[in-house]
Amino acid sequence: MNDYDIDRLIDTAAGQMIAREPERPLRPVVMASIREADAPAPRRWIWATAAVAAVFNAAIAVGVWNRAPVPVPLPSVPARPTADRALARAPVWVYSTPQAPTTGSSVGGQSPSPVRLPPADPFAIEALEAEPIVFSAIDLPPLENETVSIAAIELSDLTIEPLAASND
Amino acid sequence: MLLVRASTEQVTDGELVEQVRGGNSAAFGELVERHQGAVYRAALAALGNTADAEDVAQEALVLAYRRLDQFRGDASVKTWMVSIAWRLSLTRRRRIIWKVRRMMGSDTELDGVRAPEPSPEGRMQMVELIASMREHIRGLPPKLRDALLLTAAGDLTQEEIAAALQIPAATFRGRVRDARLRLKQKLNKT
Repeated sequence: MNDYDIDRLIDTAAGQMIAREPERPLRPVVMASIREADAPAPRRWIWATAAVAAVFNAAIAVGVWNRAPVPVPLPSVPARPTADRALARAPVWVYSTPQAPTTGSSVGGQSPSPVRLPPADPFAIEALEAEPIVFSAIDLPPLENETVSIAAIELSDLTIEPLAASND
Repeated sequence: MLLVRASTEQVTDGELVEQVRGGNSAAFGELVERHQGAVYRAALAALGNTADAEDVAQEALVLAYRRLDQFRGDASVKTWMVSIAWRLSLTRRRRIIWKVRRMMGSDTELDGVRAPEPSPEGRMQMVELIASMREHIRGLPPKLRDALLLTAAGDLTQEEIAAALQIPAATFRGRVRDARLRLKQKLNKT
């Protein structure tokens, strides 16, 4: 085989390998993908929006629940007649008879008639009285100039003795 | 859409692009019809697998629609679409899973695309030679094989293929030349 024949052989083999058409037409598939990508954008986002809204609402609900005032029980009131217990449960009522008679100690068989007082906050906190802060100048005595006197150093004359002959 | 279908032959690619940009997405269907073969064959050349090639071609055409505003008209619409398909194909070819599957031999390699017709004994030798040559082409380095197959597809000129591959035309021609040279050497050895 000469070069020309080999080139033809290569072209034929390569052509057979690549000369193909899509097994199914791509146009409908591509156009369907395009329509799907274009049209339902709101439909795609609506679920995400709903999910975010649900999470947001749940977070708000949890926050509100945690901040809800916890009912504070009144201080224990000694036993009262049954008829008055319902009133005793009301948090705004305070009875004027703090010490109810014990069982069987009612005088004359009459149950004590509680006197209702206007609603009062039993847990009211009185305001603290604080004295106003008064600023005053601080008087500091001026520093005294101290003079440090240094005693004169007296140096005595050195006397050098001659070395001993023994050199000890 | 009727306008597009009625005047398919007269409307140029550029006019179709303008129609799509103007909001007529149906005009893009005509562009798909015209160039799906070239896009598909480019993917087939890179991937060697018909299923993958169809998948990538579809993905490339959808991507081309979405990026149509980026088409500046420097190259033809076909070259531009082929370049998109080529990049997607190379991305897929680099994936490890794709390589593994190819090694396992579960894909329909570029082989037996056209079954040999019943032929007289005198042509049997040529059929065997072509089959042998296909084997040699498959054994080429990817860059040389790509160049040879894209040229053989005949959809684009070598300059257009080079533009689609984003390489100099001289480089592309050199690859085709090298591919042919190697094939001739292998044929002479056998």
